[in-house]
Amino acid sequence: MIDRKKLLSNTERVSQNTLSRYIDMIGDHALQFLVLGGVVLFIFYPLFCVFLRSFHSADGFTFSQYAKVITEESTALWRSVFVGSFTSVLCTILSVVFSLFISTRRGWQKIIFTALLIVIMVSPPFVSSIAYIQLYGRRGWITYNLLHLNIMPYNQWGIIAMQTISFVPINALMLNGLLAKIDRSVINSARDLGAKAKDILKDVVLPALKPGIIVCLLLTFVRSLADYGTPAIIGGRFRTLASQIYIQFMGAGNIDKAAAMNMFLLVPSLILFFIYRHFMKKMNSNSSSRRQDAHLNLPLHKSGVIGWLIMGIGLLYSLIMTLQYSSIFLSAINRTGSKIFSFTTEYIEKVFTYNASTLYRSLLYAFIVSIIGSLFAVIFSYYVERRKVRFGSVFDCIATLPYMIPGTCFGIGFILAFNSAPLKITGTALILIINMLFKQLPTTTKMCAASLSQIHVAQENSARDLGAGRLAVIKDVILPGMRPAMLTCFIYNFTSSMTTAGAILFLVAPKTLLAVFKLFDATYTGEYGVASVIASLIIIVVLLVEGLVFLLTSYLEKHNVSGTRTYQKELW
Amino acid sequence: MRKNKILLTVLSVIMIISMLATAVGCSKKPKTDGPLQIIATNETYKELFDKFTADTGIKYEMLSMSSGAVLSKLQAEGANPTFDVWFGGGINDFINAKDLGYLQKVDFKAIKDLNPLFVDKDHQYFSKGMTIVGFAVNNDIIKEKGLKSPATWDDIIDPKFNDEIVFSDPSVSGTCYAVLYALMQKKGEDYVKKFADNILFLGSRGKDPIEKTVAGECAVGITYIDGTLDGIIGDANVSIVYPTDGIPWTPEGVAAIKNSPNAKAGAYFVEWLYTDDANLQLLAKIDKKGAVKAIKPGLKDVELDYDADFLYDLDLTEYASKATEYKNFFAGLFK
Amino acid sequence: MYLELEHIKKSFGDKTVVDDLSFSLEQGKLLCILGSSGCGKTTTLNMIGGFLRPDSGRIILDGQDITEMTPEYRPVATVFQSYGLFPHMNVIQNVTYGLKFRHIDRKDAIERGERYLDLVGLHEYSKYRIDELSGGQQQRVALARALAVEPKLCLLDEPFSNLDAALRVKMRVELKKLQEELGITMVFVTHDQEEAIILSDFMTIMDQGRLVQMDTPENIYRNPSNSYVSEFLGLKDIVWGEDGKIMKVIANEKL
Repeated sequence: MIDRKKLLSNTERVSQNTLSRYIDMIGDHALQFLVLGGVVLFIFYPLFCVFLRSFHSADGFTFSQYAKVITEESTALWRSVFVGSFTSVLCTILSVVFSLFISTRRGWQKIIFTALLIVIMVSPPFVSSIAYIQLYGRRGWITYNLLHLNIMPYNQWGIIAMQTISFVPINALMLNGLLAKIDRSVINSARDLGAKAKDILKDVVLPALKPGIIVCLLLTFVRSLADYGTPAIIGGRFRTLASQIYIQFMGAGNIDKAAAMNMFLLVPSLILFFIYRHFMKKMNSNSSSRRQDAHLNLPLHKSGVIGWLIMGIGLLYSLIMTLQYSSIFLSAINRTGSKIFSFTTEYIEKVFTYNASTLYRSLLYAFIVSIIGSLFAVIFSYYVERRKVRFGSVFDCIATLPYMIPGTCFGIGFILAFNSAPLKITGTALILIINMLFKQLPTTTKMCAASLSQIHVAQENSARDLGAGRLAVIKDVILPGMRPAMLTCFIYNFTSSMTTAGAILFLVAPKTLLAVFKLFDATYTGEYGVASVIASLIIIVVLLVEGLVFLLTSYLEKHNVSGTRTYQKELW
Repeated sequence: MRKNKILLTVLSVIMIISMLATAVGCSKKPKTDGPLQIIATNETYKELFDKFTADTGIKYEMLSMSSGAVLSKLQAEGANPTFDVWFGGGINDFINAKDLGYLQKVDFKAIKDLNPLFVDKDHQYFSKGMTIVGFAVNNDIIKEKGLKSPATWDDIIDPKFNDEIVFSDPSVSGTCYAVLYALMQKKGEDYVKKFADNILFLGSRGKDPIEKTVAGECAVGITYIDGTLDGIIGDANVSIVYPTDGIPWTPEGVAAIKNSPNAKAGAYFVEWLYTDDANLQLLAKIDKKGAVKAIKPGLKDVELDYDADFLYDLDLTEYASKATEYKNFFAGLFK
Repeated sequence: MYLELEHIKKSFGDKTVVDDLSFSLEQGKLLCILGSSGCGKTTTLNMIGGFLRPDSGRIILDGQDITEMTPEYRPVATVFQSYGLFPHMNVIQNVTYGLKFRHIDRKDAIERGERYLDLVGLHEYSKYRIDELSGGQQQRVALARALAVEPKLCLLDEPFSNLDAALRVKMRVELKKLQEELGITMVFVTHDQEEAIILSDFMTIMDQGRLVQMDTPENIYRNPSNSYVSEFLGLKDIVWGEDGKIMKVIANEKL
């Protein structure tokens, strides 16, 4: 029993000795400085260097580069906006349809389609565009051989189509998350009262998706603006600003003008960012902590025309993507140029004799980025969103900048910034790792922010109440609570690191060669067979690693179970 | 309490700054001589570089990149380039790089054996061969469309070839700049306008035209010509045509970079390349063309695959100086 | 007095949420802060707990001025309305969490934790995960967790508001029993007048940030200081138990 007298004279105190207090405070400040300073040093500073460069010319400080852009590149500017607008609208519609399609699947169907979505996200650059041409080009398997059409995809419509289908997965995943939060009992009551599916869609589902739809529109537009790969490969004569920038860097060696062009991309993206932030807050505040079935109880096949339309489009999209990826895998083992399928392992052999080390290196760097990057994102969003440090929104904005500019710009910024003392890290593994980490920060921090809002303030307060210092709160409450977010960040970081090309193009040195660079090289030199092998390898490896990580964490979660009920893990 | 907080913040900031400073101080250590860093246009040159290591004991590491990208990299890296040797690529990029002061002067005895046309008068860039350009023609499509296989440059501006030509952006591809330069000089602006009209697809890589032609996306691809094309064509029904009214060409550059990490070794590589005939013979074997013979006329066991008189005179200075003007003109045709 | 609040003021922007609040409490007594929503009671509680800093005024606990102390060093423990249990730890880990920072070694900590779990009637549940518990059980874990650190003062922010009526009644009785047994000083915030009257030794009625009346429940019932108090209490009758304590109140029928 409790000794009352002893209780009243309790002299236990939370350790108040000066040293541990100072350590806690210093540690807390150090962490803040690390993440906030890191963002400033490795995002703002390189971009600032590019900004400065845009005023540079052989004669010194000048606005002439900007003048040049306006006079020479206005068409490209207009085209970027055109493509961006169309893509964002089409893609959002398609994403909504597809996410509705997936959410209403059950069981093995759901697993297959979700798996497809994940595979699509693991898309090594360039190769998808090439597969697209192989399937839908003038002599494409589908367009020419199957449908006997003679279409020309090398124009703005080709770009729009290609961008639309490749941006769907990431949008659909986000929308899926929203759909999972819709209160099932609301739908059930509506159905109970006689509402048809199209009414439920109109009255319950779409309103719930509204903030997500707006976010999709904005994000897709920004992504499209910054995408240089697609227009470069299939745009043909149609140049967007992003592909022009790419050309200026890669070909004309015109850094100054390219720097100015990048600034033109940045401005609209910044504006959209602020609008996006507003809506993102709305999305996250509607979090329901009630666990419910991830399946959306809307039977599409009983829902009339709309239902069939959704199912049809969903299936069609899946078919298109399956074809695309099969095409990549087939090209790895089919002799290029032959009219009928002729199996060959020559490309696989070539890759393994010359390129095995690059693959290992890619894996290693991807792992490092994934682990450190996820931690970084968690701690960063903790300080910005939860602790609400001063100028938090400024830091958040800086953290999102890499998303709004083409990767090549970010890479050039790194060279400009870190090629001389005091911080000379060009040519090293470090610069690649840091570059990839910060390039992916915009997405990882957003993933964390959403998850962070699920951790009730009361938990943090209780911990502090019971004596936990700042660092202990992070260790005991924040990090464990963010495990699902860290997993998602890990997967995203790993995938991106294995497939990102733009930023690192200028940063690789012979001894830090990465698989994706080899891929770019092979595509560049026309070796589609080799390119397909590398791409296939990247895809398979990424999927394997993701699968392993996922299984591992699920196993660890289940292992901690005790008591009577099993712990249900919510997907996405 | 408040005062303490300020003190602590200052203390922690000082601590972190000093930690960073030490870390940074470490990176100030000068780089020791490591393997030779080479950027080449193609991985197949590995064989040549392996011979370099075998002959000299100097190890290397290589990367392949287009010459335009290399120029951008040099500009971005400024005073601290990260690579030593630049091997291959359109000469105009090398001339640009020289004007910007990025190349090293390399003097060696064997220079006197080289054709002065292909050596920079200040010995800052050299040449490893020439790229010549002609047509790749997809005979199936020609037949399908009822066209006549083109034999000259004048043939392909015929409106019948509308949307049947694939060409690469001269801003990016050294090969295609050579074409643009030749066409502007020999055929004039009007011709180039009509030429641009017939272009279906403006690629960004030198290999785009031949690939697209082989893939059946177009009837004619404006492509470089050498022995490696056979591998790309495979068993597709594509022929190579040397236009009879003129063959655009450009020398391909070789240079050692100034202030690079292993500058001395870089210069030595250039010297090594031209001093022993065996190296150039190997080069010819790799490139599957005898163009290097024009560089070093005294080279044994290598012959040019075509009549060198076929090639018109090329004033390198003008070739480089007209680049901006011609490229802008061409770009303007695609608005 | 054990707990003293002196002229506590707090504003958010233009709005004055707590206006010149002063009261004191003896050791071992249970104080209820009662008022409708927006009256400033939770803000007051958060200031005592250290999660908000008052604009002016002092808070003194056991002779020590704790106004400037951060929550981790205050000898105060709080049970939040949403409990704030750590979902990734099991029951015993939650309960013993605070003991880590008091340099109590693991064995002793677990022993103490189980003693408190026993006190709240959950001794078989020590290895359970939080989401396997019902609302009432979670509430008791939160209580055990707060008490396990043996604080000088225990704060509770509407702890029973998420429970059903029958459970509320049961919990009230148990809480009171526990508080008296342990002799813990408690401050309890609620908007439920029945709860306040039955549980508290003293009641503080707040309205728009001001203290309207503070006294024992009986005295307030008998002598409400103004019409706000009597209307807020809205009592028709009080039923007294055999031990002289209030057993039940009968509220006015609302129109």
